[in-house]
Amino acid sequence: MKNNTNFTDKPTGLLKTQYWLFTKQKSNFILLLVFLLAGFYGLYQGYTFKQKQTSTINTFRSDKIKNLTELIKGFDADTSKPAGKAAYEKVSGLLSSNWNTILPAYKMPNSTAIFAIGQGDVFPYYYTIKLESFFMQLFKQGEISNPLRSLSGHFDTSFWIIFLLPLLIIVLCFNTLAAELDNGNWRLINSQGITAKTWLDTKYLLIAISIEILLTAICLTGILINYFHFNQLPSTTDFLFFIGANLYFVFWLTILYFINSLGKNTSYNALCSGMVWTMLCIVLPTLTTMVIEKTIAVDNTKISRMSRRPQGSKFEDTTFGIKIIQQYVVSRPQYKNNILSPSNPAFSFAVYNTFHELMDDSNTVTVNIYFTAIERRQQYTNLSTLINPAAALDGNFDRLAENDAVGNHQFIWQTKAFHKALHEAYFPALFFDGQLTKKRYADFPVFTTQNYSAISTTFFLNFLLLAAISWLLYFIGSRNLEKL
Amino acid sequence: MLYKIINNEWLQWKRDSRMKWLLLFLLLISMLALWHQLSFQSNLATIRLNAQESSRKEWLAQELKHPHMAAHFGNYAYKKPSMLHCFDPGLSIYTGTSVYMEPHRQNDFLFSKSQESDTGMRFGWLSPALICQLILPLLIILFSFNAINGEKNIGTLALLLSQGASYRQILFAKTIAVFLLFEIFFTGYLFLIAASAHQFIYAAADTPAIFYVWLTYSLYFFCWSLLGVFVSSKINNVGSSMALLLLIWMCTNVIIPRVSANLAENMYPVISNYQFKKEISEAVSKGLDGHNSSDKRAMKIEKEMLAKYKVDSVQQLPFNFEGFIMQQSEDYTSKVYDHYFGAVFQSLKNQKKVQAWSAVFSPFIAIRNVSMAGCNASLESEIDFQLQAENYRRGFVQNMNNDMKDKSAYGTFETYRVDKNKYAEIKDLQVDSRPLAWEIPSVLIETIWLLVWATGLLLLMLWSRKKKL
Repeated sequence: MKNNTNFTDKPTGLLKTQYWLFTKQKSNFILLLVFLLAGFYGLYQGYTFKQKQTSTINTFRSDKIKNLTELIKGFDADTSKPAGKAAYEKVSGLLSSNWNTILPAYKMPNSTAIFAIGQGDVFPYYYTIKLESFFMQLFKQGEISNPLRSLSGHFDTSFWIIFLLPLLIIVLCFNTLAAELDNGNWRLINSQGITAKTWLDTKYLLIAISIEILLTAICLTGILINYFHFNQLPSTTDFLFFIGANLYFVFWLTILYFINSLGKNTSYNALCSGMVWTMLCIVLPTLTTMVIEKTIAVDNTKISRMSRRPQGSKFEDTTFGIKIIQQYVVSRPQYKNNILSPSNPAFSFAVYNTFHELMDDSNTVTVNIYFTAIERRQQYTNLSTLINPAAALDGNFDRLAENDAVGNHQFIWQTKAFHKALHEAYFPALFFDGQLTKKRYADFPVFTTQNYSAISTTFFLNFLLLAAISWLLYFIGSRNLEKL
Repeated sequence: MLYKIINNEWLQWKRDSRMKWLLLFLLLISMLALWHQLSFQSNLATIRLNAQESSRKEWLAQELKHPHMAAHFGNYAYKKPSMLHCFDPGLSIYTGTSVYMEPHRQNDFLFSKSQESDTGMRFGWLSPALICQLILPLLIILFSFNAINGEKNIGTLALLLSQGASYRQILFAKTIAVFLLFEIFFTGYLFLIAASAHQFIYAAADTPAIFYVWLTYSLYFFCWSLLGVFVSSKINNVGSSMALLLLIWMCTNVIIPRVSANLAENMYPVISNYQFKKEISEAVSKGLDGHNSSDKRAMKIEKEMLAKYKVDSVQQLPFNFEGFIMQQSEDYTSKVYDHYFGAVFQSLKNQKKVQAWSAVFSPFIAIRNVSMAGCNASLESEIDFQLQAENYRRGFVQNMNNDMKDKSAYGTFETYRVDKNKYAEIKDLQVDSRPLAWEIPSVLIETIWLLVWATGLLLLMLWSRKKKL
């Protein structure tokens, strides 16, 4: 094969030359193919994880709805027969209805979740909701953890972008100029009127195009899987993920551009590139996490004991009961004129439920402090682009996928609102009717996942900083090359 | 001659300012990791001790009530850090830290460290083990990538050979030089960790475990030293040998562990908690085999008891039948939980086995698992803690049910109250730390692979000698 391109026909001619040089080495194609396959493997892992979550949620939801439908059928049962009477009492009785009403709340993975599993494996994504204290139920439920997987981490698209794409860039670019300098070819190239800057610019443009093709192929495939398999249209978060990935690989190209611009030998460049990768992908993220954890303390002592069921003889004390209900109606004036008397059969149950709700009100403050501390940790990481670009972008990717602590907490607060809506539908029966009717059941809320808008200033700041660092590295690199 | 080459190698590093900076970086990051872990583990120990104490106070302060209702108030178990968690916290930061124990159900372990951290933890958790498993091999590479080819390129290899040193001697001297440097550092570091942990978290010293950790890590560093020198002897270009070694490090320490973990999970998936609970609930109500429903079981027990004591009604039995049936139900539920939890543990153990076999491609996986076992933070230790907590739960519930059975009369659920000393009788869970001998069989495959790596590389080096000379 012969390259007929005129070297001086810059820069298109030079780009063709670089392409010719690139294609001359079959190993480059193998490398790109291996990376593409690794990318698809990462996507497959994301798909598997999302599929497991989706199918679990679908089974969970349909089971719970089926159970509730079965319960409601009790209203139409033939009460002249013992079985029919039992079914009717089960659905209309305050206690039995409370015991048997278990509603599903779930966090359906959003479209970007296929690209970034993040902390999706450590947080529960569905909860069963009953009338009793929300936090008492919440802190008893968790997903079966797989510590072995958490220890190693996921091989998802996010990992492919954050860890592996830089490796590909290092392997392809670490000695772009150094190789020519080491083997003495540079004088020959330079004598053709090609400057070091043009040589590097064209080579990096070619690498950028190759990586862009890989990235686009992976992202498009993910979007197609979302559309055809999960019935999800492409979203803004997908687009932002793609933009973030592009900025990140450009950032790495500029790092390598800068290293090459120093005009050192292959050995130095290899050492430097390897060290930069280790620092950015291992050392700085772990150090930043350490500093953040030292700065923001998180203590779950109080939270961890919220599962304990309140009990005791105080619930049999009518004075205590009246006091609790009176305390309750202060914040819920709709029941003000209907304070149950201790002789009412629903009284003790109303005391029990109102006590739970008041307990939730006071616990909300504690839980909120706990959650806020964790969220602040995440926010600090997401904003640490200047010193910790890899983990900052990874955190933002997980934010886009809603697979971080913030996503989990938003889901919990949404579930709490759902729990409150259940109370609002149930409490009129408790305070006014003394039993459940079909209409009350019709008022029971139905949970739908709200995908919160993940687009925040943090994200744009992260992008902006990444672009600024890249520009700075390119700028300094260009100046170095001019001096070379 | 061997000694002279080693001495010369050390002298060269001493003169090289880059090497001094690298060692300073290692020292700094190691101390940071140690300080971070000590502070984290001692804080954890204090928090959990306080939590356990206040949980205990709440338990003791509850009013006198029916034993079963008191059991429903429940107890908590909190994991406490052990001495070598300061070196390698292993899986302990990815598993739940506390469990709520109550009758009828085995609750999940919640509040794992990873739920309270930012996503940066996916990049690794700064601990002395991370330094020794990831960073030290990298430094070994930086000290050895030009050990032989560097000498070749500047012509000093021929000089060394002409002075009477054999090629094999040079290879081994270079290997030992780099190995010893890091071995000395590691030995000091490990003892510093043990002493600090003893001082700050008041954990008992586990000498066999410390020795085991020292031995296996030494083997791991020896593997990397051999690999570094071997690659530098095979590849003449210094840059290429550096690039290859870095690529090997990235593959073995970052990529393969993730691939193997994902592969293991795809092969042996862990059931979702919903499916798990659903199956348990069905097994409890319909029977484990689907033919022995709870009603049938209760009726059968009643008949058996009436026949055994030759009475006509449960009221005539010499004990409270309600308490008896309550415990029978607990026993059955426990059987169901054992069955289903056993399946989950088996999936995890199978996943670990897949990862253990993948250590053939990655000495990092081998040392990671071996280190976790040595530091009492392995999968087996986590499962063991869960089992100990579950056994405690069963004992505690049984104790309360027996009180109901033996001391109360039939039909007095609303009126019977426990004796005032009953609550104090129920002690908190005391977790027994397993000895090293209990942990070692679980990492036998990994230990073998570590030995295979060391022996294989040693043989390769011997073979390399024959080829060269």
